[in-house]
Amino acid sequence: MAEQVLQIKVAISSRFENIDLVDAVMEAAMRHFGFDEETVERLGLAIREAVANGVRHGNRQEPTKKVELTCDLKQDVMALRITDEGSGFDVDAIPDPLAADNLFNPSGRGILLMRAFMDEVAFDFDNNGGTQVTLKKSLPSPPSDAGSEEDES
Amino acid sequence: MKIPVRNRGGVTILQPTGKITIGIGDVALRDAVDDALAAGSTSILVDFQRASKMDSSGMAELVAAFKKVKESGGEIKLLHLPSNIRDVLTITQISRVFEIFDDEDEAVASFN
Repeated sequence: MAEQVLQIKVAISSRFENIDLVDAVMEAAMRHFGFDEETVERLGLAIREAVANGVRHGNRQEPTKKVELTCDLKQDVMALRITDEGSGFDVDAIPDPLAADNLFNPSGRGILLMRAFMDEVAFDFDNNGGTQVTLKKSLPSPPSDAGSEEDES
Repeated sequence: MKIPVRNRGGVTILQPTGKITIGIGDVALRDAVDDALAAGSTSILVDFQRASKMDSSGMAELVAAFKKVKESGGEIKLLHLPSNIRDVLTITQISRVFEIFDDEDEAVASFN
């Protein structure tokens, strides 16, 4: 699967209730891609966290501002880009939510979950405003039919 | 969304339904804990049997609830965590903070 075979684009206005729409689209898509239910759940949560960050922290729930998700399947990898229209943030300034002193902090867990569930997580900031989160995950291997070929030989 | 509440043996049992996520479910959890504390409850059990999902906003409310209840001299514990919610509470290490039960009788008895 060297060439791009599929692209999904979803754009929502920055309201919390719209996050469920992205969730529904991507969970259905990931089942179609062959991920098992547990993985769909985990990846769906990572995607939800990225979109929610765009709605809450990036666009500050301004409904005229959009959060856009683009999902590409390419070279056996699911690559997602989630962009907002906010002013960006300093990733390194986010406290480690696993540090004992931070266990009761309200924030920081979304990025932790993205990193726990995805193969790659990256943040890029546009000089003109906007944050782009890139999430990548290898697609599951297709079921092998090697056994049946051996039976025939 | 309002979370169903019942009382058993002096323990206030909150039973959130569906998604405990940003914007609705997290706020409902916060309101339910605040209402329980305002009503004088110091023994709170959150039963997740009907919960389907929890995101970082739900987790933030959960740890905030732990802090508030503790500051009020009470205890808050968790019951019937579905595997997906147990999974994220383990990854974020929030599970270290709470007593977690699979059996309601045992959970209720633990407050006494």
